[in-house]
Amino acid sequence: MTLDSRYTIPSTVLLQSVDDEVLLFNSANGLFFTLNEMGAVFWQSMSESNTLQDIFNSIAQEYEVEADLLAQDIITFSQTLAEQGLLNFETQD
Amino acid sequence: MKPKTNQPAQAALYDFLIECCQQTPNPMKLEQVSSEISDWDILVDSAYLHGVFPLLFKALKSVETIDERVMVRLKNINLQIARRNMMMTAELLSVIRLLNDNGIRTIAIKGPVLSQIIHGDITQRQFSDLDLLVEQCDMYKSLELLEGIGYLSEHPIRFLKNQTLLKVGKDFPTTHAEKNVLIEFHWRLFLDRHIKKSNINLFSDSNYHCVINNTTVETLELGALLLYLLLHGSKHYWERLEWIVDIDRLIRIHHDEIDWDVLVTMAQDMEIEFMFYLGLAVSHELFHTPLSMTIIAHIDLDHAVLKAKEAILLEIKSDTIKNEQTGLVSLENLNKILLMKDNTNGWMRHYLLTLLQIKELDVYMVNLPNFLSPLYYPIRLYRLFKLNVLRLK
Repeated sequence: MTLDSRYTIPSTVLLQSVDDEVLLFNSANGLFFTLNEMGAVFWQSMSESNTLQDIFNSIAQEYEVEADLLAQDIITFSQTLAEQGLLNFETQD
Repeated sequence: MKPKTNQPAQAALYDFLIECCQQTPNPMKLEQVSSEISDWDILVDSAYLHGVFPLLFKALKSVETIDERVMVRLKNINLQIARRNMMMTAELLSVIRLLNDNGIRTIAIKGPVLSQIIHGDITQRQFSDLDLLVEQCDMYKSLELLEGIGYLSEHPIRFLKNQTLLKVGKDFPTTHAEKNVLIEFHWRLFLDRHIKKSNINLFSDSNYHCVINNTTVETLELGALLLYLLLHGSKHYWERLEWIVDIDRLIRIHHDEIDWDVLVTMAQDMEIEFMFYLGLAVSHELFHTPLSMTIIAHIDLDHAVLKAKEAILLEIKSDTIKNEQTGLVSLENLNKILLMKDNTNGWMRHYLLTLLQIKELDVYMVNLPNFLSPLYYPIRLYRLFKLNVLRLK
């Protein structure tokens, strides 16, 4: 997975703010996930983009953060989401 | 067993709950009344029974004097409701997608859609099932598709080809046991025996659409939705505060989008003015719902509506304090509902139809071919005999 990877959010995934938490529910496996503050920022950006590079650009614009660290965080976070079926990555030929 | 509370504390509990349900609860008032509440369990249970727990929790977050342990407990309950609502909403969207993909126009009523429309948030309203409306001709195919994804119904879906059932019934429930989801599939919203004539176009081109999780969901046109909620609440004697909140918020948010002249005319034509004005009167009294001078004047001059409104408010207060809700099956409540009928003819008609008209349960006894449908009359008499005479013996 690289920053050029393209993804889609499955229609089975539902996002909801509850009290001071952000919850994700995947109806495909019936599992709930709680996002922390940064996770919620990532997800918000993910729902408005379709490549990890877009997310990187959007977050780098808003926050002062080291580029390499941000890129690594985005990739790690995306991998975790993909493992739980919360993101689908397009396979590259 | 719950400890007995004194009268002022009981009154405080009711006042507090009503304040929490206001569009903008007054923090000063909440602080003041909260000090008089001795038993938070009763308040929490009452809010839950009235379907307004999320509103209670939201309002309590602004009250600084509440014990932290109480708030932690409330936060957990709120989270459980939110998770359940999310699960139900995901299921609703998934079922709508399935039906739409198979060419079936599907209209969602109440549940998550109403919560989204009036609160802008699917977690702010309690709901225990999902309600979907499809054309009568699509009922069988819809239930067949639902069976394909694990839903089971109490009665075989072949009954949905029975013309008598389609004529005397209005909905067909189906359940997904594993997901613990109940969906009521409606092909109409009002029974002939309850509403003399319904002139609401349920499948109107001007139906309202709302967006949940990037998915557009169709529901009733806003005026029709309000009329339906008013009838539904009156039919159930407004026993849940949640239903009154629904009316208040829908009117507050969409007042100018509703053609009130058309709505009043519809209520007149359907001969349901009493139930129509009663719901508006209760909502106006409790939550200061903005209504036109014409509507307020009508309510103020209608003694029957005013009397019923007082009875309902008294019942809500009593239920909140006793921390219970009276089931609609009691004779006492049945009589109250009958008293809500618009006139004496209405009562007589209701009694006669209750006795003689074929009901869904008569049809479910045996699935007769359509040409034998007159046999449902002796079946109804047999069922009545069995239910009443044999039980007495």
